[in-house]
Amino acid sequence: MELASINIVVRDADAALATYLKLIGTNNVSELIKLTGLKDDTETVDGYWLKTRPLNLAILTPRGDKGRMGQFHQKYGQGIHHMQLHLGQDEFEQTYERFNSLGWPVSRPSYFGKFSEAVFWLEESGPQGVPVKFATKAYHTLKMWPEVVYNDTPQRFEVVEIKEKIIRPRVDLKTPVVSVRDFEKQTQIWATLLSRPARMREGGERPPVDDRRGNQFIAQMFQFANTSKISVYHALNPEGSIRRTLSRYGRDSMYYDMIFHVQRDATHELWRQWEKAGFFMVDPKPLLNTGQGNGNYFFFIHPLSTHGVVCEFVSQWNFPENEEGEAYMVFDWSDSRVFMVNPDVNVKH
Amino acid sequence: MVKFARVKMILGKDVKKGDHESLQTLFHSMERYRPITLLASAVEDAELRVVLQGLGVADLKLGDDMQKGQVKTIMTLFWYAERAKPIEIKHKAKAGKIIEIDMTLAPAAKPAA
Repeated sequence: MELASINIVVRDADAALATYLKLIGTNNVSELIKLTGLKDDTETVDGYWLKTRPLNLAILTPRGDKGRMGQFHQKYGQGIHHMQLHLGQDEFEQTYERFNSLGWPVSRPSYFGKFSEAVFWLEESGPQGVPVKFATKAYHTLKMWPEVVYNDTPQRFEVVEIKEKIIRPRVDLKTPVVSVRDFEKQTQIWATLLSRPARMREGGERPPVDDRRGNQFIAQMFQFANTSKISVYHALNPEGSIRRTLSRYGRDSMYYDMIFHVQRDATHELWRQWEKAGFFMVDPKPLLNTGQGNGNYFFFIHPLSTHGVVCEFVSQWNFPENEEGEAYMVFDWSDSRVFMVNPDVNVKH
Repeated sequence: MVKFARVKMILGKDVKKGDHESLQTLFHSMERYRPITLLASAVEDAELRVVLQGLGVADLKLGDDMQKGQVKTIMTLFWYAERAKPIEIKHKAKAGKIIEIDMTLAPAAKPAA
């Protein structure tokens, strides 16, 4: 099981595409696919699939307000609607059966004829409280075929040449953040859902994170082989924006933001580029996280300028290979250019 | 006193004398992103006297070095801790009222060279 994409619902997919190309940089998008008339079991959507690393970004506009994304858009407006996980076909079929046996609400699988891909949804009404989509590339006929909705879809798809060149330093889309009220319960549910333990916990033996923007939170993270992560946050203070957003929408769980990792020696330059490009920067400059010896920069762009999505940026890091070691995070210098001390000094001998 | 910036913003809520509010709570996010052209340069941590005409006064620290002519917003002038600093309301006012905000460099703060 691999985390594959974050999928946002927007009013105008073309306008949102322009925004996100301006944000990510065309050099950080390896391929852009335009999708017209992609149909599943409840609705038809149009939009774009941006191949970014390690997660792809889908920008989708539903036709109408009756399907999952249409209802979401009508109720909550623009924003992150779901994440998509990719599985081998055998695991896909097993996961579908597993969720069914747990009594979790799964949709009928849909088959996208033109790609020979199959998907099913773990519905928002499930214990996790947010929609999650599971997809496979079918290499043989589906075992659950009597339940499958077969669609000759999408109506059209094309790889679009990006003519405008917007060059940015390295920007990686890495993490969808799910904000929850009931932390212990949701930690169990996500571990079951993803068939893996939480890798790292903020809170517990470690003090809660203070983001210095009015939120104190604890978190669990679930890591994937492609270095992406799902973070489950529980904000402790009701007056902070994380909890207020949950309350405003009357929800117990929701996608709160998406986290990009950025090149450390270009963090301030990126911030300036985005401010100049008209993005609504939160705070006067990137904030150095001094909490618990963290040492990373992090900052936000307000959803008013990113089609309803809170975008968070952190300088590049990964989990250490040694889970038992003392290091909390490993800094990724692979795209940094300017040093006083070359990171190669740490190359293992 | 060096004039640093001036902006008009729409009050986001009803307030009355004695309330304690802040730039964060008085104005909706769209207002907090209203462009503000800087009239002077100043350095990080310079103290600004922020006068909300008819409402109250706050002394807030600037979040970064800034140059005359740059276009900033309430969100990019001040860190959250400053934006959330309490302002005692002197007079009642209704949501929707246009509030003129004057920012001056406090006498102790030197403008950037």
